[in-house]
Amino acid sequence: MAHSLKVKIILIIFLTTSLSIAVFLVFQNVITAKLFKTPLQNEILAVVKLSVSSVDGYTHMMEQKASDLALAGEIFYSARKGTPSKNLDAEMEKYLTDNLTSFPAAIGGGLWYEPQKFYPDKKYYGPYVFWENGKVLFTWDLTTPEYDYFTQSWYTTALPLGWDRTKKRERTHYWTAPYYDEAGSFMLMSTVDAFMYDEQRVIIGLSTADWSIEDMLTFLRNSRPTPDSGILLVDTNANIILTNTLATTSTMKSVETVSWMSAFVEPEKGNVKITSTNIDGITYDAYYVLTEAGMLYGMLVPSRVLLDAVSQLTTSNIIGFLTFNLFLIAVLYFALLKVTNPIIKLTNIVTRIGAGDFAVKMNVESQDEIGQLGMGVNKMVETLSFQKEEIDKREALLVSNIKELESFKSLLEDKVIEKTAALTLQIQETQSRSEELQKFQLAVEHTSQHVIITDVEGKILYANAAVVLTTGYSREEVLGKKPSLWGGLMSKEFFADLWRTIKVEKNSFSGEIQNRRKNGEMYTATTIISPIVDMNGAVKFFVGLETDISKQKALERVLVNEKERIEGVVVERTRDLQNEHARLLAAINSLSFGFIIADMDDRVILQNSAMSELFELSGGPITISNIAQLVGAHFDLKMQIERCFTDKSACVVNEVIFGKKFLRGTIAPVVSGAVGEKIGYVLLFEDITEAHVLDRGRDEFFAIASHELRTPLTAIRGNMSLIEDYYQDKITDKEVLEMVHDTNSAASRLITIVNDFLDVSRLEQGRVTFQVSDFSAHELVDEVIKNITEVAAIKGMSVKREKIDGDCLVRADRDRSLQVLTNIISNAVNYSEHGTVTVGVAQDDEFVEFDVSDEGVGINTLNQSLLFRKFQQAGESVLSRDVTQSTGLGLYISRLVIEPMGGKIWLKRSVAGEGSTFAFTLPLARKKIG
Amino acid sequence: MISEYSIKLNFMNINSRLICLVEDDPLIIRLYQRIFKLNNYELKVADNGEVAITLLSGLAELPVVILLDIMMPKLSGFDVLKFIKENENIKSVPVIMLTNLASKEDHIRALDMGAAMYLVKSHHTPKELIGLIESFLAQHKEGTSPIAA
Repeated sequence: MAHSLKVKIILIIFLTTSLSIAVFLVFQNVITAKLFKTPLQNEILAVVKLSVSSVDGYTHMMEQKASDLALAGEIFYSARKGTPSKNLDAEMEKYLTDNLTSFPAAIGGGLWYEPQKFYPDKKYYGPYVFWENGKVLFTWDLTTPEYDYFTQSWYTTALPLGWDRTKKRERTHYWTAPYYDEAGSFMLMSTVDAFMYDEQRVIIGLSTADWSIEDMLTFLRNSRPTPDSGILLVDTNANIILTNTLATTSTMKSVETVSWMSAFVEPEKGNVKITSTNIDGITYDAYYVLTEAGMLYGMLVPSRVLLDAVSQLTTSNIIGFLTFNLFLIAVLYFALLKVTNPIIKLTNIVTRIGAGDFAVKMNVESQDEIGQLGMGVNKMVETLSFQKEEIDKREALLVSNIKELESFKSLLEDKVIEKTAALTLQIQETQSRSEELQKFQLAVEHTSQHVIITDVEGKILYANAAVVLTTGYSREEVLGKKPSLWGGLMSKEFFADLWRTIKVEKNSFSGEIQNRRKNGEMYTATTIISPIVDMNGAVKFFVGLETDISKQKALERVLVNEKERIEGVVVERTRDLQNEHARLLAAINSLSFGFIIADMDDRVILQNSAMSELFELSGGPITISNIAQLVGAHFDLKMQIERCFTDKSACVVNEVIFGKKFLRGTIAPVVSGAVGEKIGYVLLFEDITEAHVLDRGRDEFFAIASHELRTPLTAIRGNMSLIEDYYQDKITDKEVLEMVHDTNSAASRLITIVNDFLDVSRLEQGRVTFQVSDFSAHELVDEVIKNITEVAAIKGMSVKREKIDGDCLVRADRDRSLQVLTNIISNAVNYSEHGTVTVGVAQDDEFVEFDVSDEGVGINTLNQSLLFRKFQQAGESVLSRDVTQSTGLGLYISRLVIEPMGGKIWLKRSVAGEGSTFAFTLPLARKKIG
Repeated sequence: MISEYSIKLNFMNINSRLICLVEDDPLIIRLYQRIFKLNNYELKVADNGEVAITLLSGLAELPVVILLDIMMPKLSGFDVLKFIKENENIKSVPVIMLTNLASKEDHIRALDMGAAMYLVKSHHTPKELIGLIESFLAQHKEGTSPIAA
């Protein structure tokens, strides 16, 4: 206990000291900055400002003097203008010398008049006087035209710098760069120029005043806070006038060559800006400002200077502070020990009294508050020791009483626990029983079955919700009544049996009974009645269960009816099918061609008698392999069957040869409708021998007819034209020659007629094969026009083609197309008396259209509809036909040719007296895919 | 039969002017004899297929062209054409079908079998025929006959 007080005191002292040190450490930077850094920076600022004001003073003075000199120049100009003098130079020199005496600080000065301003005929510039300490050293005559002051680069070139460029232009006075004398006579010099104006404020030239600025620069160089600080003065031309190293550098530098100049961004006039910049790895605080004259003054102080000063101060501060604190701790500790020691002693005594030791006594050493406290304690010990004895006695009595009470209490507690356990058990049992009963009751109440409980007499004690629902009686109407309220419709024997079973035999009764609802409706129910017997075997009451099965009964009846109906339908349909089958069989059997249905395994399912007859198979079943063998030489049956399944369509083979017969075979796949499953195939064979023979005959007829007709005609025409071509001069009689000519024409026409007739027949019977190829419609037209031009020219007509774009590639029989186009163009020429026949070709997405227009008489409306018929010309009737022209088959043949090739032919236009246009189309050649 | 219809012609130049005509109709034979004579050709005639084969097998000099009818007794023009094209000695001689069968099928069949040209007699006058044959021969000589290609 005594320890803790001391510890506390030490802790308090320690904490207080630590806190003060911590506060010091945390705020020492702020404190140091407040105390040391700002004053230092202010000192530097003061130096900067002093330097700037020194520059300003200099500037001001120099500008003033330059301005005075300019004024003098203006006065001289005004006085001497227009009065030429041979002594003008001398006059001006004197004038200058007089004026320069007022510039003791100057080292020189001059007046520079712009050429042509003073005397236009003379290249006059002005003199310059060198001056030192009010004494003229020598004059420099610059009247030679070679010396063009105004084109000197240092005059015209002001290097662009952000801060002075525009300002410089506003000024009338400005600095030029300082420069060195080559001989080294002058150290540093700066020049101020001032413009001179005439009365109209037009610049006539300028005055120049030169000063030594060595004094000023020396002052600036010395005004640095530390030797390693930098200093800078830049004139308005952005030339560096002064840096630290100026004394040893003889070449002026432009600021553009100094990389760190970029640190001085937009300085302000009179307002010092401070920034930080890094040069060669050293951080500087840069102070910079614009002087009154627009020069840049800058000072670079290494940041380390300030930091060093501050950190030195900080270290000594901490050491001093810590030493002081340690001393303070020691003093405080010993002072406090003097107070705490008596308190600790007193505490020890009181502690012992507390433990019952009343023999102790305080040794009082002093009369202060602690001494008085010691005496008080001694007195208190005496009183306490007496009272303690009294208390001990009473305590002994109390202890014996308490023991007695405690034994009685524990007895009572045991009894209570025992009783509580018994009661809890009882309550739990009762609860679980009542829950079970409730569940059971709910189940019975809400089951869909009737549940009735009656007494031994049959009076209803309980009826559930289903009873109310089915019978239509309310629960109140039912209770106390007998079930005969809705039952009782069965026979006496039924009830006798019932009662005997449940009452006498005491067994359950079950059966189906008829009941009546309250609304009179009858219903059927199954019932189960069970007697409930007590322990002595006496019936206590009956439980009846009933299920309404009337709906079920009704459904059964419907099902029975439906079944009968369907059976009837089945019988009927079966009969229909049988009839159908019989008809089909009869039909198949009556077919003139052979018919077989086979399944996928080539088993014959159905065949007709014609099949056997066709293949001359008497009796015995026909098999597919049998037929395949019979026709095998010309017809691969198996392969064809496979093909028809792959193609999913019927295939027909015309040239099946069996013995002397020609057969046409057809195979068709049989596919089940819904799923498309292949289930078999149909095989048909038809005897086409007769048709085949007929066909052959017709073919031969055409060949022979055409040949036999042409041959004599060839002889007639050939001989006639021989006479015409080779022997005309041998015939003296003109009549004979004319006869020969007529015969020749007739033979020609006859040949044409024969050809046309044969062509028509063959086309009509579809016996013409078209040799389809892709060809150019343009070329076709060109070819026909070439062939026909000569004939047309005889009539004084011409045939031309319209110019059309597009390749117009046609897919058709080229020879046949040529035939049609020739026919139409020939018609156009033949049926016109004059004019031009125009052929056009146009192409759309599917067809190429050929248009042939003439300028003939046109075709009357009546005849237009007959044009493409057989033997029709544009004439009136058969009897009035113009037989000299043609057979009248041309357009008919054209139509027969064009249509099978997928095109059409028609009269497009016909106007009486103006002409007609015939048109036909041919399909466009499709570009090959891929 | 050969001697009956063959006529000796004067040679006008050293180039061969020999032409074989296979034709059964006397009217036509006479017609063509006239026109070829008029144009200085020597014409050897066979009046049916069998005679044609005999004639062609025994020729001392190859004709410049064989004119071949189709519809003839005994052997047809196609049979003769087949014989010519299978016979090494004469298969190089161009064959021009000269017939009155005008069907496209016959035309194509003949060209397929190696005929160089197909002419329908009734379509041309004898003068035209000479013109056609001569222009064909001119082209054939140059080896650039478009028809035989």
